[in-house]
Amino acid sequence: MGFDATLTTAGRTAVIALHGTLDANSDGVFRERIEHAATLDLSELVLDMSALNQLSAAGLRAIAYARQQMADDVQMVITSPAEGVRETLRAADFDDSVSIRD
Amino acid sequence: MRDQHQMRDRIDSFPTHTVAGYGVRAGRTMPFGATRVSGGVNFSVFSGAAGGVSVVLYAQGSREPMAEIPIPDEFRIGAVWAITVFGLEHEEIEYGYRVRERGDAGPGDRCDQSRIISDPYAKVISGRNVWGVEPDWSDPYQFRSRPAFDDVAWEGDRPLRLPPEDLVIYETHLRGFTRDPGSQVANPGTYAGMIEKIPYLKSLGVNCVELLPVFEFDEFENSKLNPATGERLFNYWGYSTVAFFAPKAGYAATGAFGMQCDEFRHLVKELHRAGIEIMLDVVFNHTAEGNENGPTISFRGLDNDTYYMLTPDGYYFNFSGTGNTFNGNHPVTRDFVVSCLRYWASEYHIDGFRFDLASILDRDQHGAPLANPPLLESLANDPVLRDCKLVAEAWDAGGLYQVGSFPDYHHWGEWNGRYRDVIRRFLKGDSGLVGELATRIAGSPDLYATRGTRASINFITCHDGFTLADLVAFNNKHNEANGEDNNDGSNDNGSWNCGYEGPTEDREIQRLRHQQMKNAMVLLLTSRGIPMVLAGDEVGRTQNGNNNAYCHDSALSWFDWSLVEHNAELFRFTQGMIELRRAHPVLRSGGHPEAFDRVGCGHHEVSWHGRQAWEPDWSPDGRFLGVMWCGFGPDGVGPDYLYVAANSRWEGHDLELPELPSGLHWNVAADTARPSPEDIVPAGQRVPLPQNSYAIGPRSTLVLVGTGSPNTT
Repeated sequence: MGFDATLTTAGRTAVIALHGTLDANSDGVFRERIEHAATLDLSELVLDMSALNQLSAAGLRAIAYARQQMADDVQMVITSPAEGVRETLRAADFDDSVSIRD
Repeated sequence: MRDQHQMRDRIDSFPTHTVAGYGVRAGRTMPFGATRVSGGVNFSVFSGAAGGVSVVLYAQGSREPMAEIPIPDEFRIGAVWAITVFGLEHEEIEYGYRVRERGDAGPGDRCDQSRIISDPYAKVISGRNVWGVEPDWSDPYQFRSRPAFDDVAWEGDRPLRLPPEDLVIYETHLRGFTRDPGSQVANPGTYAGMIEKIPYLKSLGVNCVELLPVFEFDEFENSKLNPATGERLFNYWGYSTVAFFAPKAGYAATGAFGMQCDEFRHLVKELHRAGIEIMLDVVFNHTAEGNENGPTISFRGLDNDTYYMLTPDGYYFNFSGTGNTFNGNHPVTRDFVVSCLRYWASEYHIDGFRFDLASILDRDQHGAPLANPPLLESLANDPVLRDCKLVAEAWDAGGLYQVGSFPDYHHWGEWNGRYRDVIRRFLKGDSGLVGELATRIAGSPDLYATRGTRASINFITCHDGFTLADLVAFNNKHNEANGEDNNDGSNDNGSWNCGYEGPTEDREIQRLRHQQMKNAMVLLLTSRGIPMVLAGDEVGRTQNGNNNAYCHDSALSWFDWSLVEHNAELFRFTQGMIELRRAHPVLRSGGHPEAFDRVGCGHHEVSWHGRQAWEPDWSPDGRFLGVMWCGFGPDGVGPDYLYVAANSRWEGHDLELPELPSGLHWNVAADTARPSPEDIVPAGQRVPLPQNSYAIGPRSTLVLVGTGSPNTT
């Protein structure tokens, strides 16, 4: 299953929309988007997971990497994760460090 | 903090050979197992019996291998075969080994090159990813090794290092704790599910959970049908380890995705955030491979003669009662055990370990007991394990019983089976026990004089045997549902049914049973040593008289959450006793009490009493014991006075209480003869007794606390 991550910005908010499966094969693409976002002057980074089908252990680490790369005052939000993805995030302790919104 | 430094590529991160179409090079001998390296995966495995070893690779979930890579003999260092394979995405592969036996193999070697062998050091095992899902039995490689991510966002988590004497241990089965639908957790029976019940544990007041085995095991081992209901019986408890470095996937909500490691670490973090330590029940006395008729999973196929105690003609010693005996004091096996526990302590922040049938670890390679067992010494002195609690179930199935004599090296504690036995017998009303009762309440100085009270894990119930509710409701075991004609499980339970076997509508018997359970909690939580409570005892969980429910993944063994409301009185009482213990350090001192006035109060630290103060009844017919504690208070200044009494007679007594200094009065903190809510009285609501006497009820226990301000004139 393929993966794509597109980065758009509006003011001081960046949105990375994830499509497909975020795993060890695809996390490099995601990390590139993160590293680019980290160079911007942002107050908020939104990870739009409405089109993300699956999240693996490598994908979890990519999200942790994203949190680490962004400045501490940048709020990180995950939006519209599918139920299975949401459960994975919750089970792996991501519902405290990152906000999750429908 | 983000470090911009990037490590340059290593000068050894490229292949030097091509084998089976893969770029490879001689691997790093250490660490053992499969390790992510730049560009690939490093595999390292010990086999003293091998003439050749191949790495067998599978695409995740594929039945047939995708590659088989013989490890060149030139890559071998000693008896360790190591190879780095490049181009592997470690998240997508499963692996195993094919071992060709040396030409001069001995009778104890059982390499079989027709089989694929799992890695004893595998950090993740695939094959039982979802609990109870029937596997493909035709798949010859059932328990597949997988590499693991070893990076962790601990977010500042550290082992808690709580003083052992301050612990209140709660023994529970991970799955059984939340599996019942009444738990109302999002993921019943999982690590994630337990996290949702942490508020309950905090409310109860326990500060350490001890989990029945969570290392990967096969729930289908010896699975059969319940003869009464036809339902499937499982290897539910898990005392049969398949992989010692891997958390059980079937206990994870994310096990289907291979994320049990992350989920388990999340549980550890949340428990630690709540101030709760985590101990693991570990089973190094045997493995799931059984005897020569059992499955070849890992150890047998790699180096049978090293990992197992064998007879001279190559058969298995069976000191565990399960088919094989792990050869713990062989230098290689010892290294395996130490490495394993170091891994859990350092990579999972585990606070302690309870060793099942630990006396086996005191046997040499031929099964003889050792005076100075290297394995136990190594564990006790290991630098990584220095702050870990190490607790031995100090007996085995081969006749060794070492309660009080387990080689301790000033570190090991023990499950105090002597404590369990005397408390049970005293509660049921046996006579001639007052002397030993006093010794056990004082922390068993006869057994642990050189180690202090922290060596004594005091318990009345555990996973083996009756629950507390069944201890007071059954004289005899009822294990028919296990399918072994009720021949399994202990016959010596020290239980008493209070007048009727099993469930009854008789209100007086029900009342007495509840009172007996409260009596047990009073004695357990006012004794020196480390108390351990069996999960569910605080709400009267029953197994319907089954004292060996190892095979029941059902409501018989699950925590019944409806009991929290149904038996709220018992929960409140237990909660109150735990709080009382926390509030009075004199009950949990690390030292045994001495005939010494520690705080200048005019009384010894401990004194014993009968119905008359200062006149204990040590007679063979005695069934009453009073104990007064006098020590430092919570502020470290003191003095703090407690009086605990236990009466196992059918008659009540008028007690003369030991006199307190002028200005102080006794207050009732707990009296099991009183109906709820007067049975346990929180500090701040206690009323001073008007006189220095008290009427203790029949078959009851009592806790008094001295309060007031001493007159200085």
